[in-house]
Order: sequence, then structure tokens, then C-alpha cells
Amino acid sequence: MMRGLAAKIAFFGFRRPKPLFVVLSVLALLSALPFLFLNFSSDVFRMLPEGSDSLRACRALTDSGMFNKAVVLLTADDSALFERPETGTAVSKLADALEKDPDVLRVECRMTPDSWENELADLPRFLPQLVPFETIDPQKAAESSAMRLALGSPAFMTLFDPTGISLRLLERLDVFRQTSGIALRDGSAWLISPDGLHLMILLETSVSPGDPKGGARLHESLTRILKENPIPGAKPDLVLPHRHAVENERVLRADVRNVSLASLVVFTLLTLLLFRRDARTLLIPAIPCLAAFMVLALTMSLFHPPLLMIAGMGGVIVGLGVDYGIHVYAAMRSARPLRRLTHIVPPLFLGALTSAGVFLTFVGSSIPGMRQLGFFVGTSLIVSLLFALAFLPRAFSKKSDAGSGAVPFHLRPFGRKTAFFLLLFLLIGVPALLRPRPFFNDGAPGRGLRAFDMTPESFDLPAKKQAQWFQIDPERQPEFLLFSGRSQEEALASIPGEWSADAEAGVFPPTCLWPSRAERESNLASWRKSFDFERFAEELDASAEQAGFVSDAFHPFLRKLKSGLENPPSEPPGIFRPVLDRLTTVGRDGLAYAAVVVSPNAGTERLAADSGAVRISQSQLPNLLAADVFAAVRLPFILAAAIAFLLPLACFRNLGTMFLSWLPVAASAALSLSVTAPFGSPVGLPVQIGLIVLSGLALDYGVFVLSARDSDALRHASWSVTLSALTSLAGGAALLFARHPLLRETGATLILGLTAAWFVAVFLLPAFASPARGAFRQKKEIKVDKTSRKDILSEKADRIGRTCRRRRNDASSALNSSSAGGAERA
Amino acid sequence: MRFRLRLLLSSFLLLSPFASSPAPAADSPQDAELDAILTNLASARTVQGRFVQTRSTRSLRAPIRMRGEFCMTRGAFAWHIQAPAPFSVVIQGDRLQQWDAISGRTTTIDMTKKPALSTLARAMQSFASGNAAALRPDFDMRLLNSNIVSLTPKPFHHAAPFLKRLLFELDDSRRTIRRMRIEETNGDSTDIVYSAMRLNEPIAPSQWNVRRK
Repeated sequence: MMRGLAAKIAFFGFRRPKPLFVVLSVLALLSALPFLFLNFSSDVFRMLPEGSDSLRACRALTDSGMFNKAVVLLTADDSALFERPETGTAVSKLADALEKDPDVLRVECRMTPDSWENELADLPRFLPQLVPFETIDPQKAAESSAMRLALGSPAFMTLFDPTGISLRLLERLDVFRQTSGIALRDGSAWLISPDGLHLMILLETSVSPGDPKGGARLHESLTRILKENPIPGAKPDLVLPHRHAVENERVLRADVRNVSLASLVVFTLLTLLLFRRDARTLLIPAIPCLAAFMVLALTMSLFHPPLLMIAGMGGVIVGLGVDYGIHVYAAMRSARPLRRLTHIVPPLFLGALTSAGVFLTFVGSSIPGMRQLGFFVGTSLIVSLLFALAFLPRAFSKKSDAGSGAVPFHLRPFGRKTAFFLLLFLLIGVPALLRPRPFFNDGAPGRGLRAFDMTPESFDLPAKKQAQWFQIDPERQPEFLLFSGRSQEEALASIPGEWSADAEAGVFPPTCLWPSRAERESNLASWRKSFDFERFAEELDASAEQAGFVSDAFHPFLRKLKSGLENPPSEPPGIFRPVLDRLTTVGRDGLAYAAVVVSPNAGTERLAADSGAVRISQSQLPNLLAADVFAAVRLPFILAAAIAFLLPLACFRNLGTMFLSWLPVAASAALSLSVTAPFGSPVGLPVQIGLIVLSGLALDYGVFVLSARDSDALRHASWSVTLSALTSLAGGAALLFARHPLLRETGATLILGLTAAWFVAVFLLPAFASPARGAFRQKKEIKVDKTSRKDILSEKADRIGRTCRRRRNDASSALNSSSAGGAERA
Repeated sequence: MRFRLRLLLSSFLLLSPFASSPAPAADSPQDAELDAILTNLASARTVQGRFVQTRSTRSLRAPIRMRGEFCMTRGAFAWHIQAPAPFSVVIQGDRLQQWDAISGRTTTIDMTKKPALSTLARAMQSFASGNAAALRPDFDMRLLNSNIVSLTPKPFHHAAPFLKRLLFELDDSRRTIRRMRIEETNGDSTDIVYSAMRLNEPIAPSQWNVRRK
């Protein structure tokens, strides 16, 4: 069936080249449309499983706005610098300039508010909402206040808090400080490190760290402001996570350009060197390029948003599709071109279908990036093969070419014994010696998202400095549990009510400073129900008199408390604002977010599971990513493996041959996995993607060699496989020009694996599938009767081909003679 | 509560006479004299005595007077108010204990978990080792006359908005502090007058018991 189909496609190409060309031109023009109207996205999070915890965490990181932060670090040589009034003035001026930037929402550089006294004095107004009512003894309150005053407590702190409740609330700010692990110089009103050498200015911005355009604008603007407002004696450092997105975007776009250019140069060079400077052979890479272009256009139309990273895989696709052109080229250069062409079609189809089938299983994956990759590569492979069969035979069908494609040198396979030991060494020896790390068990610090990050390590230095200077333990960063809702009230309400500021448990919910509306109303109701304000005011006045206070000492406090009972404020107290603003945001997705700060190892995983919150953990995110990706690719991998085993089995109808066809795959996987391990490259996503592409290519090699019917065909097959391996290696080599680790590591995996697959297919596999063993002979004997009818078809194909060439030659000689006659007449 | 303790501790730290090594080289003659005073104050191993603390504030009709006793040794001190209501603070190592007769409660604070208090304790140790630089980041120190030292919080210090200055009057030998005055920006003040000062005498173990009978 395959042979008949191939013959039909090839003959159609022979007979109707013009309509085919017109159809192809129209399709190519149509394919250009999506490129004009659609934009590529470089959203790396689309390489994560939909609905997974890791994706929620990564999305929350960028969408919540809670992490849209930038930090200016000022470093002095002398710790006295930040104590000087003139430095304070300069810092305030810098903070004002930063606040004027349109992308900066808020600037904080002070630990305590400027109007500390006023903020504290206003706190009684909020008490009925912040805490439930508790019985207050006016006499004890007055005596205790007198004692506090006598001991040296400032009057405003005592007179506005005779009950001691405000002090208890202020203690919660200490819990925040402990839970978040922030280390600040005690006593300083500014955010100064404990050694006094560093001052921190926190910036809340409206730009997400994942926004490359906004990030570039912000970086430029902040750098300019820092330059224009220097702090004498201090050196500024800017901690701007946005720089990663800016740099990644720039590098990725440059990579796509570089890889495409490198592919073009490498394939052109290959064509010139390997294909005897025959310009027609440029069609070999041009056909898969065209197929990839058209399928990419289709992918862009079907999947939104199309991913730039997937387009970057184009170099690999060209490498895969070029194989088909090479095999057609080699067949058309043989002594009986169309006959050989019909012979190579089944293995070509089998290889293409298996590889395409493997990739198409990804369409069912929960990872959007993998879905696009699967569709793009799978469809491109089939279209490449169809195009190669339709266009190339006619292009290489010159009569003079027939028989010119002799194998230049014989690649002699090893003997069975040597092959056996070499295979054992490749499959068992190399992995045993080099010990590749287990799948997905990354564990390397800084990996995970770093696998997609091509920024230099120096980009992380300011953030590391910040942790070193301002964290009690730089290695133990706090974690966050993110709750979201349509409004801030809803987000706060979703935090479990039983969670409170607990330094021992290492939990700090923002609701301990500003409870949810329901809790505030409940607290207020308890005060209104049980608290007799007038009586309390009278008794406190009387007790204050007895304790020696002036008559109206507590009246400001009582007025504030009464106001809070009668007109409860709807906004949180100013003294808690800096912390609350940090922990509650409205994200760019329109949702409101509230974050609970949790100390590391405080059972965050359990808390997240119990509450349904999104867990943001700098240390745990890589592990979470690995686990989620592994879970998402497990089923497609199993399906792909099943297809890759079943298709060859269905075609060979022999279990032994099917297993033999997989030996190049096994060897390439063993080598590429093992060799990357000692270089410190764990089996991350890039290597996994490379392995999948590699499996398709390696299987092709095995199938092609095993489909050879005799030793002459084996020589031709080995040479074709060598040519195709060289071109695929060129495709992999093109990826090495990329700066993006994802593309570069994929290229490295391809090069290592392809070398192993080629070696096994050409030098080892024939030893186990030699006619002496019976694999080819048996296949040939079985197929003789069945294929006799197809041989007649092949003869017919050759005859038609010859007729076509004769007619074309006749037509061209007639044209030549008529032109010559015309010239004579003239 | 912590603020109150912090203020108390600040006062006590400046009383501490436990320097064992000479102060760093001074930049000016006045600095040299200040360093000499600090070194001199730190020459004793233990100090104990009595005090009368008077708080004057506009909120009170009349100043409140409190009296009690205190003791200090390297890395520990106790402050016991006897009248008008018993109140005690004892700090030993990283542990702070506080007891007051009104509530009858004893509170223990692990200062390693309270960075602010811990900083004060560290400052105390720095002071005890004669490290005058430990106070200089937070205060501008000046010698007003031969016996009075003034400490003004620096503009960056969070107490600066309400604490005007601390004044210390030394005795003639400059080995102990005779009187201390805390002046606030709103005009309120606290005076502590020390008496019956004893240096380098053994401290009774009961002095470290926060709960007084």
C-alpha cells in the first residue's frame, strides 16, 4: 500500500508539476498570513502543565503583582555614613525621585512611619474591629498606665493604650519580622542592615517581572534616577527581577535568528560538500523548510498564543525532514532510480509515521508547549515526506544522474562478536561508568526555572547580596501562601480564620493586622453588645484621678475608641499599612491576592494542601516543577513508547526485528544521558525534548538498515543513513549557536545521541540482522511472492519515468531545433 | 511593653561599669576624655546600689517617685522597684524575666527571638568589654562638663522623634554614675538618682530572683 501510494505521489509530481507548483505557491502565500497578523509569545510558563501547582505558583508570582518589586541597595564603606543627617536628606531626595517614576507605585525606606506618634494615637479607633471584646478593669488599666509612665514609657504610648491592647497588636509586627527572617539594625528608623553598612529602599512597581518591555523601561528609568541622585559615599545596586525577562526575550529572539542562519549556512555547506555541488540538492533542505514554514503557520492559527520557543525548534525539524530528501536523492542516483525509490518508501513511511506518531501523542499533553511541539513536529514530518516524494524525484530525474550515486566508500559493519561486546559496552558499560542522574531528580540549586533562564549568574548577585545583608539566614528564605479572590475582602476571607500571628509556628497571616470583613464585623458586634462605653469612661476617669493622672489624661483615647465604635473605619490602620500593602495586592489578572508569610520548614506543604493556597517557595519551586512536569509527560511518554513499538512490529511482523530496530534508540539514549551527567547537566526538560527527537531519528536509522534486502541494498542504506546523520548532526550543531540553555542543551543531546544511533545502525546492527542470521533472507523469502505484483508496478513506474524523460527530451530538442530554425530565418 | 523595657535597658546599659579593655583610639580630645570615662566606669566587676526614680510628665498631676535597688555584673543585671508597686526585671544571658505585682504575672522572653532586645544585650556586652563604638552608632556622645555626659539619639534612630537626650552625672571619682536624666521631646523627663553604690562586692543570689517577696 505504501509503495503504491508513494508511486502515485511521485508520478503525480512527474505528470502534473505545474498545478502542484501553483497549489504549493498558493499554500505558501496563505501560510505567510499568520506571520503577519499573529505574534509569538515567549511565555516560558506555557512549558508547564495546565492546572498544576507549579504553574499556579509561577503565574501567581507574575500575576499577583506582589512580587513586582525592585530594591535599591546602598552600600557604604563606613557604617557612620547612614547616621549622618545629610545622608538622610540625600536618601529622602532619592526616594522622592524614585516615587515620581510612573512605573513605581510606592517607595519605602523607613522602618517606622514618620508620624509614629500620630499613627499610634489613632490605633484605638480600630480596636473594636481588630480584636474581640474582652473585659477591661478601669482601675487596673489606670494603675498599670501610671506604672508604665513611671518606668519611662513615653506618654503618648501610655495614654493612648491604657488597656495594653495596642501594644499586643504591635507585637504582631515583631512576629512578621521573625517569620520573614528580615534582619534590620535595631534602633534605626531606616531600613539599614545590622552591620550598618547597607541601606535598602523597597520599590513597589506596576510592572510584572515577566514583562520584558516594561522591565526594560523600568530598568532604564531606575538606572537613570540612581545616576542623577547619587548618595555621596554610597554605591548603589539595583535588584530588579525584571532584568531576567528582558534578557531572556532578547536572547531568545537572537537565538531564533542565529539558529535559522546557522541552519541555512550548515545545510548549504553540506549540500556543496556532500552532494557534489549539485545546486538542485539545495531542494533537500528547502523542502522541509517549506513544510516547517507552512505547518508553523497552521500551528500559529490553531494554537494561541504560538510559542517562540517552539518556532526555535525549526532547526531540528529541518534536520529530521532533510533525511527523507537524502534518501530520495540517493535512490534517484542509483542504477534503477524509480525501482529503488519504491523500495525505500516503506521504511521512509514507517520511520516518518513512527516519529510523527510519537510527537502527535504530545497533542494530548497537559503542557501547552508540548501540545504545540507535538503538532508542529509530527505534522511537519509527514508533510516533509509527502513534499519530498512529490517534488524531489522529478528534480533528480535526469537520465545522466542514473547510476551516478554509487556509494563512495563501503562502511563495513563489525563482526557479530565484536558488535555484541560493543553494544553491551554502549548500553550497560557507559551508563554504569558515568552514572547519569535519575530522571527529573534535579536537586541542583538554582535549576528549575533557571533551566529556562539564559541570564548570566551575575544577574543574581544583587539579590544574593540583599539576602546576605538583610536576611537572618540567607539560605532560608520565607515562603508564601497566596490566597486570591475577586476582592481584597474575599482574598482575606479565604485565609483560614484559625491562623494567627504565631512566631513559634512560623506563620504570619495579614488577617492578624486587618481581619476579614466578617471577622471585623463580628468583633465590632461583640464590643457593641458587651461594652458599656459611658460607664467605662466614667470609671477610667475616676481611677486615673486616683492614680495621679490629670483629669482628662485618657480623654483622647476615649474619643478615638468611641469614634471607632460609632463610625468604624473601613481602611486598615496606617501603622500596619507598610506590612499590609506588602502582603495584599490586586494582580494584573484583576484578582485580589493576600499572602501568608511562613517560615521555612513550618509545614508549608501541609498548610497549602489544607487551605488550597498557592505555595510560593524559592527553594521548593524547582522540585515542584520537576514533579509536575514528570506527571504531565508520563502518559504521553507511555503512549509514544507504545506507538514506537507497535508500528515497527506491525510492519516487520517480527518481534526480534522490531527489538533490533530499537537498538539505535537505546544506544543513543544511554550515551546522551550518560555523557551529560559528568558535565553537571541533570536530565532536565531540554535533554528530555532532545531525547524525544533523537528517538524518532534513531528509529528511522534502525528501520532503514533493517529494511535492506541484500548486501548491496545494505551498503546503500548505510550510506543514506550516514548522509542523513550528517545532516541531522548539522541541525543539532545549529542549535549549539543558541545562547538559550534549552536550545543549546537540546542540540548537545542530539549530537551525542545521533552519533551513537548512527554507529549502532551502520556498524553493529547489520551483524545481528545479516542474511546468515536469517532476518533479511527470511523477510526476502516471505516477501518475494507478495511483492511480485508490486515489482511489476515498479517496472511500470520505471517505464513511465523513462517515457516522461524521453518526451521531455524530445520536447526540448524540438524547442531547440525550432529556436535554431527561427534564428536561421532571422 | 517591649518599648518600656528597651528604654529601661538603654538607661541601665549606660550605667554599666564593665569595661575590661581600653577604648579605641579617640578622634578628638573630648572623645579621648569620654573613652577614659567609659574605661573607668568599666573597671568594676560588679556594682549594686539603690535608686530613686522620678518621672515628671504633663499627664500626671504630680511627679511619680519610685524607689528600689539594682545590681549588675558581666552579662546580667537586675532592677527591682519596691515602691509604690513592686516590679522587677532580670536579664541573664539571652533570657529576660519580668514580674509586676499588679498583674502578678512573670513573663520570660527569649531575647534571641527578639532582635531588638537581643541587640541591646549585645550592646551591653560591647559596653562591658569597653567597646565605646557600640553606643556611638545610635547616639552622639558629648561631655558637657567634667562630670556630665550627654547622649543624643542620631537622626536615623527610631527614638529620635520623642527622645531628646540622656544625661549622666558621674561622681567625683568618675567610677560610678550619681544621677541620670532622660529628657523627652515633649518636655517630659525621668530622673534617676543612685545611692549606696558598692563596687566589686559579691551579689546575693536572691537578687537574681525576679519574683520578689
